Amino acid sequence: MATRQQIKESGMVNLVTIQLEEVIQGEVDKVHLRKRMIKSGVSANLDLEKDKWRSLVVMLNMEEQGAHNIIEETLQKELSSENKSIPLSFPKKCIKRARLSNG
Amino acid sequence: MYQKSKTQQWLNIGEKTQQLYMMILGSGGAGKSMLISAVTETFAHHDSASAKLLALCATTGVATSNIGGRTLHSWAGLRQSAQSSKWMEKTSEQTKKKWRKNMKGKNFVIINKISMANKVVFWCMSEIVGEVQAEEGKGDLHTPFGGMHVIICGDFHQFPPVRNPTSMLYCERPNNSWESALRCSIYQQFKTVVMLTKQLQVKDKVWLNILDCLWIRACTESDLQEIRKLILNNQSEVVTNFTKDPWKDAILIMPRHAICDQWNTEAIRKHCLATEQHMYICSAEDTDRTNDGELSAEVGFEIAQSTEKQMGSLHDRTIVAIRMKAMVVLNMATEADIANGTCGTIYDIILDPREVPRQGEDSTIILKYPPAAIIFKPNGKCNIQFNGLNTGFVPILPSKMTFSVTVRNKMYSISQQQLALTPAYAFTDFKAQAQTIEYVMIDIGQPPSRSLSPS
Repeated sequence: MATRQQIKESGMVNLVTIQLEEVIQGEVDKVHLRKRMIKSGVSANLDLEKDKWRSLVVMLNMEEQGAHNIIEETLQKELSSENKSIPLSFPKKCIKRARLSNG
Repeated sequence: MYQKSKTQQWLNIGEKTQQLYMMILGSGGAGKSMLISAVTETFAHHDSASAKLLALCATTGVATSNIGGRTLHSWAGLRQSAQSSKWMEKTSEQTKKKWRKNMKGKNFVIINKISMANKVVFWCMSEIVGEVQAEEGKGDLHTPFGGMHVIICGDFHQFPPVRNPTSMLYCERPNNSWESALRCSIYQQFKTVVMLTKQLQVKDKVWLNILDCLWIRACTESDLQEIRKLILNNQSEVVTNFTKDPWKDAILIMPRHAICDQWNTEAIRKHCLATEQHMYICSAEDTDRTNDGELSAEVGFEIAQSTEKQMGSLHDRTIVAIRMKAMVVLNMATEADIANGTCGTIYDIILDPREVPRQGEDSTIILKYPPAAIIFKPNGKCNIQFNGLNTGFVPILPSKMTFSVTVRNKMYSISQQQLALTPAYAFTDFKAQAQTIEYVMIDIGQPPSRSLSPS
């Protein structure tokens, strides 16, 4: 059975039945591998990402900047509320009681 | 007093940030996609944890790959059956797992190309997100989207949802039931609105002015005269030569499928004659999953009678040729920019190992099985490199769909394999949404069934 490379070299690209399952499976595996690389690449190259962020935000016009700021402000509020945690020394039953008394 | 204020402070710690319902509107080329990219980068810039708070979705495959997200249906695990009553109770545990997997830890969602989202889908999505948010203890079921911050982007002057313009989010019809009132009310929550008015793509000042006027229905007679200059008829001032560049390869956009198919077949025939290439006619491969792959004559006859929609949207017959313009018709890998609507060129056809090609009329070759792979080069960017293939080339394998047919009261589960590709010399107006095309011919006749706008 001819390989795809041999067929290409001999110019018989069309109308040739070839066994390609292995090649194709290999290529499918690479797609999955590549997908993982794309995802991990975001945090791996941090400096590059920071530059990309700066250049993108600088490029925004006033209207876009306005929309961006509203979203960023909400994100910051969200992050600050998530980072705060209830002090461990404060007993849970007190919180419950306080909530009840607060209506 | 101190005690009370301290308690209040502690209680406020757990309070949620006010939910953001935001709408970013702007015509094509106003910078919506760029803004989404900037917002995505901002989330990643804060820290790696905040990047995970954001989900990116779009209503169409091409729009999804433009922003690097997922389709709305895929992210929210939406099915057609969601439109029936008690759909939430009927949803399988497997689908609910998918909801949790996709939405866990998400606090923000951006939905692009919102004009094509319909009210039912939007409402179902709100219910699903609410369910997951409530499970995570981050929101409640009675708030739209369960407290998640939602940003919708688009242009309501662009295409409405397929087949049903009145299901557009802003349309208040039908208003005859509490369900329809509820569906309308979700859109009405979006009170933070930003309009992007600066055009970044169109440089022609006259045309830019016409586009601006079209947006607010303020076109003057001189604008209309300028538009009429583009209409081809016997009184046209400019004579266009369609046999020479750049019009030789112009794409036809039109609302009728049947005419698109005829145009495509003729265009491929012309292409094959000019380039001395073969035209391959590939049949779909159907196998009976309930009978070890063997397809009885009765089942085969039933499949032949079924419509493409019943069979899972793959074509029963696909035409391919080397160097042919083609369009992907399924969301294969949106993160790799191979989505429903991606256009490109076929560079190689690799036949199935079992194939014994049969010569048809002229230069056509009839194939019994779909090709094992097609080497395809998308027109836009392609962020995946395959070994053995040049940059920008991707292998497209036959896609698999399953559907069922009933013969003599017995249900058969059929597996169908076919290339999810279609010729791209002509396509419908809905498929043209979010495409960038240099030269185009547009059929401006009345769409076959109804108008595009709900008003």
